[in-house]
Amino acid sequence: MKRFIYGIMVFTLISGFLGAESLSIAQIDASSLLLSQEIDLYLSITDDDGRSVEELSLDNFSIFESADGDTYEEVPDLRDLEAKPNKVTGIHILLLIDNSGSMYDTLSGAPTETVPDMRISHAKEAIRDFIDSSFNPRDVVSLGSFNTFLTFHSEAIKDPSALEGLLNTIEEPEREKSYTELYHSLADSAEKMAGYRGRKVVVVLSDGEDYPYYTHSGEAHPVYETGVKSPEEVTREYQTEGITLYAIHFGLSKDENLGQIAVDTGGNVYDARNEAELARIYRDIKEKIENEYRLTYRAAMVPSDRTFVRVDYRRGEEEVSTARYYFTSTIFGTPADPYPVLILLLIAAAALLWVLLLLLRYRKLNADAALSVLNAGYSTKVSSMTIPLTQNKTIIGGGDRADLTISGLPSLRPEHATVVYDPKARNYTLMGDSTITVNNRRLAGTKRLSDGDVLNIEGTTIVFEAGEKQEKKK
Amino acid sequence: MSTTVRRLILIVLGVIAGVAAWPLIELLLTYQRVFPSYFTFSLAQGIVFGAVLGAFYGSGEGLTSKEKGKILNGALTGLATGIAGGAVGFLAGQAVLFLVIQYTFSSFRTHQLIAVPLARILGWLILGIAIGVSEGLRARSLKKSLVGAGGGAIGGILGGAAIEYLRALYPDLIYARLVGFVLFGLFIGLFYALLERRVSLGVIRVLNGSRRGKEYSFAQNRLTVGSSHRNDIVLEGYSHVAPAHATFRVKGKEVYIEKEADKLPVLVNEVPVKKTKMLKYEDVIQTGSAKFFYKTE
Repeated sequence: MKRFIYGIMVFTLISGFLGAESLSIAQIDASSLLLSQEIDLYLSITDDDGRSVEELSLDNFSIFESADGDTYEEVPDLRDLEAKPNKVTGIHILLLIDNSGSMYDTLSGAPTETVPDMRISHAKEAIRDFIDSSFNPRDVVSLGSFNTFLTFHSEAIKDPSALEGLLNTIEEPEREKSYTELYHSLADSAEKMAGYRGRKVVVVLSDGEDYPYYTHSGEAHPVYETGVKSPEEVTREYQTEGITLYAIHFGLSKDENLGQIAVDTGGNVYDARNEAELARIYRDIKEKIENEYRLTYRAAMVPSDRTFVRVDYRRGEEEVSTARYYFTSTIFGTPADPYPVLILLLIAAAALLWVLLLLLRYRKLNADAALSVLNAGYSTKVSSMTIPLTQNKTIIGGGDRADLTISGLPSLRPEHATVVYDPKARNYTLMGDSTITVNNRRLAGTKRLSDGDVLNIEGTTIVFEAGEKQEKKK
Repeated sequence: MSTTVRRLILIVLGVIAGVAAWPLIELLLTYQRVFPSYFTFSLAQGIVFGAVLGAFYGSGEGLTSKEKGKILNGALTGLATGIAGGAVGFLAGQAVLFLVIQYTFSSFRTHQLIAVPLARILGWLILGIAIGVSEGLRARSLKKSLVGAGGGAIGGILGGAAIEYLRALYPDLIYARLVGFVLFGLFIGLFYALLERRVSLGVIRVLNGSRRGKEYSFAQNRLTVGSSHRNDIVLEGYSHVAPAHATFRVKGKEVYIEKEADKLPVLVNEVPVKKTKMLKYEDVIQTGSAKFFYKTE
């Protein structure tokens, strides 16, 4: 299934583990929201023993949505509840192993040179067992290890058996590399997994607590420099990318925040003391993910940039509630509240402006015949853009005495061209030499002008306009 | 009217369209809960927004040429193409918005300040392209559609950015969306005009008669001339003009005049054209009593 998982954030994790059963929204898939108005919720429900609860129906659930996370309205249209959807679609699991110095001690924390006794060897064996027994063909697995640095040994392998050889590439770090950058590594892992689609899970195994290089060596980390990641930041990375974190404490010391981070991302936390327990936990995690439910419902139309969704779960006397939100931003955004009624007047104002544009008259026809300059020639100036032809003889030239003076061109004579009016015939004639063109043709002595003729005098373009009176007479 | 004035009017029309669209969109947003789904809600917003902008832009051609028939026809076809463009553009934009916010945010604050605005701007971009293209479709011109797409894209980005960042800077400013809509319309008109000027191979200016001074840009590959209202250049009130008299056609980087009427001549520089003639700078073309001047911009 092509799945786009919308980023989700917990605003309140669980309003209560009111009973012994627990409920978490592992992911929200809002990819079908625009086309079908449907939201898919991936729900993980476990009983008081931490086992997945089976054989649930839609009657066990109620869905509520809210714009602000305070006032919820029930969503009536719950459409489908599918058990074990991930078994069909597959899961992408990143197995993240602590490869700090302490992982090369024994299970009881004593230093050892005997490889099989080292924690890392037990962890590798448990992973081998997990790979051999628990994967289905649709699953994808990645392998990473961390100490001072995070290393990805493989990415998105579809044949998990290939991990067998890759586990051997995890080697004991040098002293400088044996710090435990737990939080940074978790955050970077989430970023890495964010690029993949589908159900995404990170399973981290650690034998200690976050032990950052910068804090404990006093020197800037080569990658993270002086940056220190908080548990809250890690949690947010997972929540926003829709990734569930499962944490395994493998050793005597524990990171005090790791369990909460896991729970806050919809996952869980485990303690393992030996290889057998570790293998069982890996299988248990896989089973939990596979046993999730996908609840499909028709979303309400909530005018908000994010919509909170609350799931109420009931079974017998057990009642649990949890909520998250998904993003529902629209291009135009949220409405003005209350609606400013007066703005409706703007429609009338726009219509009025449009009418004004319609009424605009852009150019008035000259009453008398005229010469109108379209373009002045290069580096020339004209004395007027329009001159009416009200006299019998109108001179165009470079001199001051011309009726239309074109200055700036030495080649232009004082009386370069003349327009003569014949009162009897009521027409205009242009007189000049062959440097003048009329309608893009060289002037041959004289030319009777008609309305719209174009004169070019040394680069200056002039239109002869017969005038409104002349036009009417025609 | 010169092309400059015509382009200014297009820009003003964009502003007016933005002003007219705002109260309607605000009304739709207020009644979001009434819509059964995001699909119908997005469709309604796209249709209303596209219709308003399309109708105003569509009326521009008739408005500038003062042809009443063209005003109504242009507004109606603009409305229709605007509806189509707005619907497609808005749905695509909304889909992109939903997709983009999935991958870009890291916290609600970052999401609100960066991801959502950027995603919405992308949505505006698509909406702008759709509306810009619809103006070209209305004129049945690929070149004009491409110009419209370019203008719409730039206008969409800038208008969308204005809306988003005004809202981010002044969350209580209810006029932020109005300003954005106005800028959206303005920028589409402005960049449409700028791009049109850039791709145009010149303009045809009417030298005489009732259309005197009006200019037609070669932002489209074909301009038909005649007395019929179906032409791009309608020569109403001119004598000896056939319903379909001539066609200005752009071929490569040259402009040609083609004679369409059998009995009525087309003159270029007072010489009759047999069938077709390539135009050069400052040629004077005559169809019936109407004269045109070909010039580059």
